[in-house]
Amino acid sequence: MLKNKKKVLPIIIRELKILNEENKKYLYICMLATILCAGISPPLLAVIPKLFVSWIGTGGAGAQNAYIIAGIFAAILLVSLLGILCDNLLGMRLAELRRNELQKYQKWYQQIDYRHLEDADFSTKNQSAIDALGGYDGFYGTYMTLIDMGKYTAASILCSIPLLRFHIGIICICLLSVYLSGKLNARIAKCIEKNEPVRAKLNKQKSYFSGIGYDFSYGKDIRIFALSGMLKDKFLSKSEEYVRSQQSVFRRKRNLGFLNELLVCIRNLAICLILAFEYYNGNIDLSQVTLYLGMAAALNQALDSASDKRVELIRHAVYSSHYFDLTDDKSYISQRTGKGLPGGHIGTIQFSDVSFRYPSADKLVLDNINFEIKPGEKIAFVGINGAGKSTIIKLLTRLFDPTGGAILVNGVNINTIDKDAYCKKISAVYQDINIYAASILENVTGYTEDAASRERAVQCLKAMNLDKKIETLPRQYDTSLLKIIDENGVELSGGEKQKVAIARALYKEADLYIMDEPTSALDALAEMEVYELFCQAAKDKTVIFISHRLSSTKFCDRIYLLSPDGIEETGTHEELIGRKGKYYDMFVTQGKYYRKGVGKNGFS
Amino acid sequence: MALAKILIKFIRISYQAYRKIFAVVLFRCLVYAAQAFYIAMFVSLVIKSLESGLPEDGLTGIALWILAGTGIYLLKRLSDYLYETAQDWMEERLDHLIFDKICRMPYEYLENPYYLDLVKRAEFCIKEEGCIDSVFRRGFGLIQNVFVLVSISGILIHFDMPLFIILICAAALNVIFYIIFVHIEQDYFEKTVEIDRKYVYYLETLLSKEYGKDYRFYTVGKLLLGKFGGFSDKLTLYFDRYQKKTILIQSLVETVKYVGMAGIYFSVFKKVMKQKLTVSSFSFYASLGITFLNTVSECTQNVMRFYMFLKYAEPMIELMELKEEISDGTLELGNIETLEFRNVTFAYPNSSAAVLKSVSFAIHKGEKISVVGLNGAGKTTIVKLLCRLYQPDEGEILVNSRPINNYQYSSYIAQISTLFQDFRLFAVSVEENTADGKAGGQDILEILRKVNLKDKVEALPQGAKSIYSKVYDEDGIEFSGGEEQKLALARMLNKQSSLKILDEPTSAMDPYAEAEFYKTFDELAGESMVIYISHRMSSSVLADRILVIENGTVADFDTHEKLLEKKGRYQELFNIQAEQYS
Repeated sequence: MLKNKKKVLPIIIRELKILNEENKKYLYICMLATILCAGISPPLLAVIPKLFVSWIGTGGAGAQNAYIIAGIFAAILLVSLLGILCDNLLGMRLAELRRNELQKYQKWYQQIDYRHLEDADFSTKNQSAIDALGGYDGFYGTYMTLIDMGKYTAASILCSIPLLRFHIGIICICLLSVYLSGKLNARIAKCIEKNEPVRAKLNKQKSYFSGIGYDFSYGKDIRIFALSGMLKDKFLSKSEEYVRSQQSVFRRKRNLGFLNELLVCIRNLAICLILAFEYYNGNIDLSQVTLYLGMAAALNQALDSASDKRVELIRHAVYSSHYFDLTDDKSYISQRTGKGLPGGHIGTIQFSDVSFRYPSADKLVLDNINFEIKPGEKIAFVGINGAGKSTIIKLLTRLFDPTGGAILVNGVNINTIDKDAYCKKISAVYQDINIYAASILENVTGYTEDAASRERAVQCLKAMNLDKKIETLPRQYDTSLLKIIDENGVELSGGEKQKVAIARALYKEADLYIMDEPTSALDALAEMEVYELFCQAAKDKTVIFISHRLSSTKFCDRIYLLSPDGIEETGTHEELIGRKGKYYDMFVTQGKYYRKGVGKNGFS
Repeated sequence: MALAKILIKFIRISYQAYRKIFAVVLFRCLVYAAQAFYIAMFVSLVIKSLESGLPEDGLTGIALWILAGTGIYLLKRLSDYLYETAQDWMEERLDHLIFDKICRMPYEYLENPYYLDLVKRAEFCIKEEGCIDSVFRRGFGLIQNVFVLVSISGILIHFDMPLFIILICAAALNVIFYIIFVHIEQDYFEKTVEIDRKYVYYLETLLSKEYGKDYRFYTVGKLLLGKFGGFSDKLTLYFDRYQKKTILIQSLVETVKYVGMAGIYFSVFKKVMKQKLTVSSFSFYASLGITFLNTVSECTQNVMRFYMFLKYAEPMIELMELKEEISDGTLELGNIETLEFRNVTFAYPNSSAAVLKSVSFAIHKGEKISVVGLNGAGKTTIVKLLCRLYQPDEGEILVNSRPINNYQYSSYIAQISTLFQDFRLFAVSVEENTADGKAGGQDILEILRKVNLKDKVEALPQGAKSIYSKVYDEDGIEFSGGEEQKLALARMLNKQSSLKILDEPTSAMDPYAEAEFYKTFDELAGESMVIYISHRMSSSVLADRILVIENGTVADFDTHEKLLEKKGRYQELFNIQAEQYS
């Protein structure tokens, strides 16, 4: 926390500057107004009883005095109403600013290099940024606590003025007291901070078990294997650990709190002694005692609140800094250099001695891979899980860069080509089916300003045989998918969702299509249908299939059998079968149970 | 549900969870009330001491009052500590109760979107909103406020009736304004829960790793950003409207407050002048009056917030009130000798279309049965009915010639072991995952050997005691998809049951692992009755007979060879896949 304090002022200044950038300069005035209004009220309120008490001594309030009091109350009321207005205006506009900042972050998130998304360190930073922008803490909190601190500081200053003129001792006592209180509170904060890693860990553990209850997907297994007893016991013990750890912090807090109260006791005694002393010496009368007691109380309250707010402000600013630090870091977005795609189309693709290792791994996933794909070919990469098939795709789609060798398109190394131009010509469909809360049409077209988009999208959906189903829906192509945003949304079956995803790929009119195990969740008939429809629609395009089911890729122009050692075999299905090598072996293994007379042990 | 009803149930549930909290909160209530009075009277007490004349008496008086105050504040810190701790325990215990409740809920609720939503809202209430804490704080804040108000009323009525009437008027106005405000807030808060969920959807979808690839290749990301922007703008309009109403109400309340204050000062002054009372009495009564006004304000806020958070707690209360599992049978089940479906018809609770129509078949001990059919034909439903997760609408399911509901649930389910396609493993040790939660036993390694996981597990730093998954422990072990399936298979095998059910057992396995599975299946299954569902027809070789389900009815039930001869749906499905390997 201490070293973080240095970050605080720059963050505050930066957030204040944002008001200027967003054309909301009037908010500066609002802030000043609300601070001043809040500052004036306490001293004015302390003056009123003083006046009344002084009139008790002099025998009554005349009409003139009544007007004075009325005047003061009117002033307080006006100032208070102005404050309310400004506070609410600030609340509204700052919340809006926070939402805008969140959108800026979302845009940034979509532009960063993909490889960071798979990095655990980035994922933590991402979460911190979301925490800073998602709610009242962090970005928004910085503004609010800054304003609040300003209010209390203004009140402190305005309350001190009469006290200063009376007796400097009182101010000194108050300042000393708030300073020492601040130290005690800092101790508490440090204690909480030190305990935080432990607390977070225990919280994570107990939340996991708590989450099992709330997550219905565990329900079947819990019932069938009678696991609720065991899980509940674990939950109970983790809960207990958590609460006990919290208790020790609370105890410390309580004890420091006791010290704080003793401090306050001494402070109050000192102030009252000074006042009593002055009173008994005849320097002040009871009305002034009333005044100074009131002012001192207001001053102490304002100082304490300002001190608390200061601590809060630091906390919010630190959260906020996580967000700013992240997006300021230019290393997340690699340079957008590069020429356009030579020839404007993706033609020949060549892997030349390509090797690759994931950033956090030691082992090479790909080691000197070589192959060439000509335009219009239908290629399959097959092999057991872990052979590197998906990795080839990640490199080809430039989600990662090879650690050795080069990938060439149209004879040119792809890392010299502009990424956006390159990715525009690729369409990929993966195993995890991604459907979004938008209409069926929008799920296919995405964001588009093209007038002809609707017609084209309908054609793509037709190509995947979805038109009949869609036309039975109440709003047809404009029907919403998923129920989360639109309660009238529709849930499609697994196969239908995958077809929409493929229609999305077709709509893009890319040169290269990549299909990474898109049908493993579908049944035999649906799988066959999907492949047939897709191959018909993508007749002239280059298509790369990934599969571990050898039957689905028999029709390809060329098949590469991949293993952790590299490309083992290449050829058409017939050639590879004829070769009676590893491909043949795998094919036969998968297919052997379909043959007549074959029993459980794999033999006739 | 009416407010009073919700409150009673809330109290009952809290008492069940952690009864100590009531004593703690009462103590806190008293201490805070004492504090309120002390603050109100402090100035007048000091002045009174000064008025008494002699400095020694005066100073002693002041010192005593300050010490008394310090005593109250020390007790306040103590009560805060006790409350914080009690609150933590309270929330944990409540969580435990809900956990219990959900584990005992009839399974059909778990697939019902209404209950899914209810549980989400209950979770949101406890975890995000801190609503339990708020209900207690506000509730007892209310009681404390009422206590203070009643006491002050008593004092002021005797002192000066007109003053008291002013106060009552000001209080009444305050209450009226807050009632208006409550209506405004009600509408606002009802919508916020829904808004929050949509907001969370956008946040999670736009800032998640899973969709990252799509965003870089399609314009879907840009589309969603646009939609979120629109949604955000709507939120701004919505909040602004609400905030503007707030300004009005707040202003009215402030006006009443200051006008009331003026009235108090003038009244007390008049009375003090008329009856020639002391300065300290002026201070005393004026202070009490102002405290009264402030307390009324605090009280109405507490009422409002109390109401609001109590409403938030409604889903949790509804959840706790749910009826539990229906009455259980009494018989004990030994081994399953025969299993029969007799004219079973079934439709899922929220749908009219029957998924199973008059399904009848019989299986006997030791048989290995494969259930095949297209997606949606009803295969998984048969399994769910067998596991007593649902009840058939018509017909019966018999085990050993008795209806399954006649058996005690725990002894019935002890005879069934499953490996579902959407199986879940738990972040406990490998041992505990395998052995029904019980640790220890050499048999674990033996089972793991059978599923080809022994080498992997023995190589782990803590062997079979290693925790599965890194979800809360960095030392936990991540398993690949295929290894997970093997571990779940080990769990299934380890349970000594006479019926084993598998749903798509090899979907995540590569061809070699799949072949291995088929080869050793006999050994794995032993003498158990086995039912498995697969849409990969190659698994039919493992079966003695095959149950073909078509549109919710039994199309056929025969051996593989005979079904191929019959040239029906089975033959059609089989050949589609077989042709690809010819």
